[in-house]
Amino acid sequence: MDEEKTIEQERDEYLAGWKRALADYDNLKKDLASEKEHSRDIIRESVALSLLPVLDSFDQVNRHAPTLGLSEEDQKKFDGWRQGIGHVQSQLEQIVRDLGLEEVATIGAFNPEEHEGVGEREGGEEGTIAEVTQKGWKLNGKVIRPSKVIINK
Amino acid sequence: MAKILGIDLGTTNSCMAIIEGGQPKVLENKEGARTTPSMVATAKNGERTVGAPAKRQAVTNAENTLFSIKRLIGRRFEDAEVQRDIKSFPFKLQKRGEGVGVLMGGKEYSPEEIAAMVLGKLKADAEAKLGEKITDAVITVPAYFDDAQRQATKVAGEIAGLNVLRIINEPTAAALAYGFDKKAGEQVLVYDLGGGTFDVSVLDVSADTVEVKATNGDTHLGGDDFDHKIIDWIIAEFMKMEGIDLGKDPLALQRIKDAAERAKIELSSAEQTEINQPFITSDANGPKHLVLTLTRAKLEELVYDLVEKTMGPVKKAIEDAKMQKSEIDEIVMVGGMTRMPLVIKKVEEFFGKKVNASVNPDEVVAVGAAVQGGVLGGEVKDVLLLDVTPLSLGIETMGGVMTKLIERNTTIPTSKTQSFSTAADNQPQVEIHVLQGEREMAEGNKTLGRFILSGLPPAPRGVPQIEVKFDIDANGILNVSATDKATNKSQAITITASTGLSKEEIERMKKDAETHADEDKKKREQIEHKNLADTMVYTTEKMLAEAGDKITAEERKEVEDKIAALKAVKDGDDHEAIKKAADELTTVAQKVGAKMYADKGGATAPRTEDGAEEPKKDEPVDAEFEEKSQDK
Repeated sequence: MDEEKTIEQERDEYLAGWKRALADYDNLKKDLASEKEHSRDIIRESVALSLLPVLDSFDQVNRHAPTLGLSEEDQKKFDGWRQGIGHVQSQLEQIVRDLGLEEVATIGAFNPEEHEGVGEREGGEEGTIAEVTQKGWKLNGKVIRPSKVIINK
Repeated sequence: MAKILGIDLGTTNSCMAIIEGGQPKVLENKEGARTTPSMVATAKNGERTVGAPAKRQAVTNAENTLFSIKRLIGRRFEDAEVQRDIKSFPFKLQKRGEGVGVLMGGKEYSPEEIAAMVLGKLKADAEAKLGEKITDAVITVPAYFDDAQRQATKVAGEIAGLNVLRIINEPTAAALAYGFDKKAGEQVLVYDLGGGTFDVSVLDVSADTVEVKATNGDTHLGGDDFDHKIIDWIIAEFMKMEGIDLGKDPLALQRIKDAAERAKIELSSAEQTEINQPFITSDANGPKHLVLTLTRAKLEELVYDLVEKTMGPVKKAIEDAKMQKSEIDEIVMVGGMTRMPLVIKKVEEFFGKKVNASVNPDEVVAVGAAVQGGVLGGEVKDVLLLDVTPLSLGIETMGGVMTKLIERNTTIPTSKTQSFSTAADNQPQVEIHVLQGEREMAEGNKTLGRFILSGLPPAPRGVPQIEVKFDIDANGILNVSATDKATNKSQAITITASTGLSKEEIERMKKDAETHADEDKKKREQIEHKNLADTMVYTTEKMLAEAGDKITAEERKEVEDKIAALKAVKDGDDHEAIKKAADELTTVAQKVGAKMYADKGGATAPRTEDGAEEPKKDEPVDAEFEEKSQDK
């Protein structure tokens, strides 16, 4: 009788252990699936982060655009060429957006969750953003790079 | 059971980890980062921020942004360290009883309260991530922290709502992360070069205790100093080229800082990197571009004295521990800066020994704290220990190659089935030679057993399907069976000693495989060429036989010549010649084959019976047995 009980107890233990192992495996599969999704985000993020400096450089291109005092004809040519550069910039921006990135909004008050203050300037309403020195980007709501801004004081 | 949070409360950055399923795991914070800046700030509107957001508003709110609070915790206001730091901190300190008061947003806080804000954020983020409440924690402190500093750290944890199970030393945590507590009687040196501080500790690790025998370091030496060297170099180079001082341009300086940090990180894996910041500034002559190449050699020249500076404390610590450097058994690298190849090289040169750097150096202390938490909570002791196969298992296939069926480190029990075929026409039997080991060639591995499956019905090579099944049960007993699918004839062998190797034997076999890896790989490739040549000869001869009068005499002659040429070299050792002859045969055979195919109008293409081709789905062409029977 005792022996029977022990065996029954053992049987239950083993069955429970087996079920647990199966459940563990099932959960592992689920974990792996979500992990995979997560790694996709990480890859997207690192691809995006390596592309963003090029976009920054385009912003610099525009910021440093020269005024050359050209003849009307030459100015037309130059403007057309500049327009082309602008389109190349849009192409790259489109790729970054297709990766799922959104630009961080920079209107109104400085918010350290999304913006990084790099300087202060007199004028304007205190604590609001005076100038964006580098665009910030979000992926799935997560700030992968804050906007660098100058704040009004 | 509730999780125990392991926390590395750092001077510059903090990190947290837990034990999950018996393994340590670093938790990301709310912002999705694995480390959190140890910074707290109060904005002008009174709002408090902790971590990355606090860091991001530091420039514009310097006097209300607190950092490096760890330098103040548990100290008295009169302490020399406090008096030194007071000069460099942009926020205000004042006397608070015996201790230090820190001003933020017009209010006075104790360093414990500020540290508690950082710990509180970590706790809240961990709870959000895990979806359960966290109460217990293990927090690390530098080995040189005195009683008051440890007590203050514990108080900080309590203010944050944590039950601090234990305060442990950072170097001890690092040693735990590498599992050195399991190897009793080791002397471990921990080299910790972080963002702003350098610590070196000598530990005596025995079965139950870890004794800190000596510590040394430099409280103001770290990654930031390395960054500054690069920034200064960039500014100087630009000055030389363009005559413009970028140090005076805050926006340009910001970009240079980012670029310097990126360059430093890149040069840990690359030999050189380009610092490319177009339109960095402009003057009357138009825009200026910052484009520089920084080599690892140049970087190492720039920071050489900083790395050299760390070696003094290392020597001193060993001396204080009353030891020789040769007595150090293990060296553990901690802190992001130890990723720099020069740092590793310097330390390895000094000790004449490899360092331990496999655990992420930014996270190793938090991981160790979690391991300690796991030990205290009993989670690390796994109830059911699952074994793994220490070495790969497989069989010998054509050309003496070992084909692995079960890779090493596979958790057992497990089984694996694979189909094989014959290497010659009308092969009557196959020999299953069961092997264990990591070498590419059968002869380099250990024979576990062999058996013969005979009575195969006559068939061209590559046609018979022989299913080989490896099955290891939970006790490590290996069952190998081979079944001929055509006749259902089967043979099997049971090997009980498949994991019965001594530790030394396993290590030796692994090492063997490593040392012979290149030579084995070459040999295997050569055999693959030979096998391919065999197959080519076989299939083209067959093709010629089937072709009959569909091809011209010249075409037949051309193929036959190439076959003869390949046959002449295929059993020799000139592998280049074999490859060349095989390629030539392939070319002419394809030409003739295409013609035959075209003549038939594509209706009945010749069936491929080539066993060494790319495996096709549902076809048993993974590898072939060598015909070994003597009575052929």
